[in-house]
Amino acid sequence: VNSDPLHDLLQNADEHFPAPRLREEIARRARRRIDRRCKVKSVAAIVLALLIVAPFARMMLPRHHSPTISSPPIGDDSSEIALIAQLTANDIIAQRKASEGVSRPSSIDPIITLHMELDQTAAILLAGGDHLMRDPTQKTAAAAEYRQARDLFPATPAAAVADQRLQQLGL
Amino acid sequence: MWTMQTMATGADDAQTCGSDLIRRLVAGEAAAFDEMANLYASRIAALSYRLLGWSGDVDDVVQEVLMIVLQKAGDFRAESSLWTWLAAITVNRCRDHQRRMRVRRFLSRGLSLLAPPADRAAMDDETAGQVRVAVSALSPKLREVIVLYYLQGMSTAEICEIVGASTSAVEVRLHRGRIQLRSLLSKLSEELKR
Repeated sequence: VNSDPLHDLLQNADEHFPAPRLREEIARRARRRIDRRCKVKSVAAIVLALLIVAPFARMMLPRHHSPTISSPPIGDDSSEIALIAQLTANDIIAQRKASEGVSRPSSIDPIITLHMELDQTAAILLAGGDHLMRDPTQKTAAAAEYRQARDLFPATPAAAVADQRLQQLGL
Repeated sequence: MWTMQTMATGADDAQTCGSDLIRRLVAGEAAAFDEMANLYASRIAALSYRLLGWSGDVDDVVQEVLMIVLQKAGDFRAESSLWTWLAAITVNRCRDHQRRMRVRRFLSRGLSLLAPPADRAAMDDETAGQVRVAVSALSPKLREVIVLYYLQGMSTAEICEIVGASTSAVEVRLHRGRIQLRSLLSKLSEELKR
């Protein structure tokens, strides 16, 4: 090697360009760099795992169906009446049950079901009459509704309310 | 797993770095790692500086070499010289470093791939500067064998172990490297012309 002129040229160049001095504590810095890389790798692994698992987790979780409330379209009188009637009937039924102290039967009694349906029908008529009462020109039609509720379903709470309304109208 | 046979530098290694230190290093002892870093960091720096064509961020390369030693010290079976193992890691790290630098330069479209910065080249001694440019102009594989052979004083067998190539491949690279260097440096000296 020593007889090779390339050797001398390279050695001279090497002496001309001495290696720069290393900064202090290179071993400690290498250790810190490894620690940082490990931390970054573990965080990246967690994030990756979450990204992979997330779609499956959504599929596995039980779905809770939230009830959708659909309101009737504005201006549709029949739907509005039905809704009001339903709500009124439910209120009346709830009040009656509360006053009688009757707990809900575990099995459906046909007699109770019949009473409930009668109450509900009378309430629908009452609600229809209330709706018509909003329009001053429809008072006669409203009175007809109240009369039907009172006469056809006399034993219902809605019939009593309808009778009161007729008295207020002076009919 | 580093399983090469013991070579000539093993004796030199035993003088520089006792077998006890190697044993503790393989066992993962922190103090042994610090001791090894103190012993070899400057040698690793010198080798990487030469492999990078007497330029580049040597500190970064040395750090990377030490990180690999720290992570893979358990794989070292002490059947070879510790320095040979470290030199092999350094050669690989320098290859990666040069690859990254080439990508960076390509992206920045700034400096030439071969020449050192203009202001520094101007300051260099003319001959040394041209040698540096010529060595930098060699492909990494040719530069590695030239540096290891001429500047590190390693034998062909050691170079084979370090670069992971056969004896004939190393000899071919050495031959091609010489021809290319002579061609590049032909203007410098009549001695180089045959």
